[in-house]
Amino acid sequence: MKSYLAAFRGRSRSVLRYRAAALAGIFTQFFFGLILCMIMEAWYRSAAPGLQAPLSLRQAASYIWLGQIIFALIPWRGDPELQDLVRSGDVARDLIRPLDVFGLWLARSLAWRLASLLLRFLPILVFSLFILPAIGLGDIALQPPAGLGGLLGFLLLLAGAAPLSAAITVFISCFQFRQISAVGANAIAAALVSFFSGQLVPLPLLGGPVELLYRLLPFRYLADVPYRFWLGSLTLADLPASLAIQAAWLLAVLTASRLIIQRQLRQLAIAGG
Amino acid sequence: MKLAASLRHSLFMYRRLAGLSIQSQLRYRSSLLLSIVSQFLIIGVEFLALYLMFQRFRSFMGWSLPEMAVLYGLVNTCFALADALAYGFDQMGPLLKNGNFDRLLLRPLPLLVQLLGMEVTIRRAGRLLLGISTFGWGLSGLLPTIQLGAPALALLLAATVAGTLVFLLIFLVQAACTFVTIEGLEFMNAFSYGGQQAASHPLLGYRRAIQVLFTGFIPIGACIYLPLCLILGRVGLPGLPAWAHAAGPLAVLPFGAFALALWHLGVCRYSSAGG
Repeated sequence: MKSYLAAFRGRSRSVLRYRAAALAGIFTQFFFGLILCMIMEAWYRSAAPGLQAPLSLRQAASYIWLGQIIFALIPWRGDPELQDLVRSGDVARDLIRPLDVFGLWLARSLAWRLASLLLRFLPILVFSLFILPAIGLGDIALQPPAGLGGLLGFLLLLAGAAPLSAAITVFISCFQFRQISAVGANAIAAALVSFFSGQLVPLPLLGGPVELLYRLLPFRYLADVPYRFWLGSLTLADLPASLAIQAAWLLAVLTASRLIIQRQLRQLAIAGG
Repeated sequence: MKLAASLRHSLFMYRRLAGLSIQSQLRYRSSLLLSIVSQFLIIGVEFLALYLMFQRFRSFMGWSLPEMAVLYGLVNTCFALADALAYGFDQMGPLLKNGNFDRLLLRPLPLLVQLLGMEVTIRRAGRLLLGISTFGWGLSGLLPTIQLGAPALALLLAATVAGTLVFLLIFLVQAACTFVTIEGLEFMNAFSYGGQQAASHPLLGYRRAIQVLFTGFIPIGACIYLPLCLILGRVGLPGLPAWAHAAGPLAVLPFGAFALALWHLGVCRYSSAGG
């Protein structure tokens, strides 16, 4: 366990070094958040009077800002460091360690996601929650959470989203052993994750077959479900069920990626290095 | 006379460099094809999102889905073209860090030609394909109602060229800033990717500050959105006369002068750190 903790600490420290890069990312996210919120505002302004939307504009804007706040936690792609390991042949070094490779990679991915989140979330939270209303953009600002219960649900689901995100990152990275499947896996992951987690469009606004689909996939437990607790559309009564399903998905993704990695490693041939 | 000759030489060399880069990328055909399909998929989801928002809200500031598709398609086409051409600008960070920029300075070919010729990224064809197809799909839905005469087509062409140039110039500004910061500048993504995102929706929907930013300062909206509004018979920005819509693509000129001046300044003040 100590070794995995060391891997976690090492990776998070290296991520936390790149503060300038994080600052640049934060600025980009402010800007994107503002643009997305104004687009959302225009949608609501264009809607025919009497249109019953499942979210109010303020809720939809909050949904967008929450998406910017936890942006770094969303597993868009596999771990680039793992990708490099395979390309350079350094993966061999990980394999001769007296450790479980899967656990090692999971610890590193978790560190990568959490450290990036830690660097970025606070400025965006402060900007969207306090500064925007102060400069007269209260309509497209982040609303405070729906009571203490909403905040609690949000934080608990977010705590579960972190390992789920790391597990999905490792799952995508499982395909890094062949160049072709790596490109494909990253692309499919980016498309599926961005859409079905709710980062592209607030999922509550979608209905019909799309709704059926996103309810059947694990990705909304990364973002959409925690957001719904913040917004108050899910309440403490829904919390046990949500946490249970999230945990079940975590277990499923972990088992699947473990099996895939074991199979890949059996076939792995390292070409010098 | 001398200028014409050097221009012809630059063009010749650019064609050679670009041709070579394309040939080398075609060596890995299956990987390339997959990259194109991948990009198509990633950006396709974005358009799907737009489509689904239409299902919910029915219109965007009075624009119909085909009209939005035309705007979205045109912006993405321009962005994809610029993104494919700007590979060298994107490489400025590594070039400065490993000292290879000095080598470029020694060669008897204008710097910009060398950077532009470094690679024409075929992978970007995924976005290009999506841009062209959504544009075509939207236009085919509108053709019964709008007239596309010669002036409209010329304006469309001007918008495409100017739009591509603006994106390319944003990448150039980004490259010029690298002289100071060395590291790549992720915050400039706000203006390149953010500009593409913002310009894919009618400017009419934004608050005033964003409208001014994307017409007066970084003229993506002026180059693509305003002329398109004229063709579609829409109000671009309230209070703006028709001639200003038609003249929109000209806004690329002052922005180009600014970007080139900044680049020139960067090159003049560059001092190599060895490497």
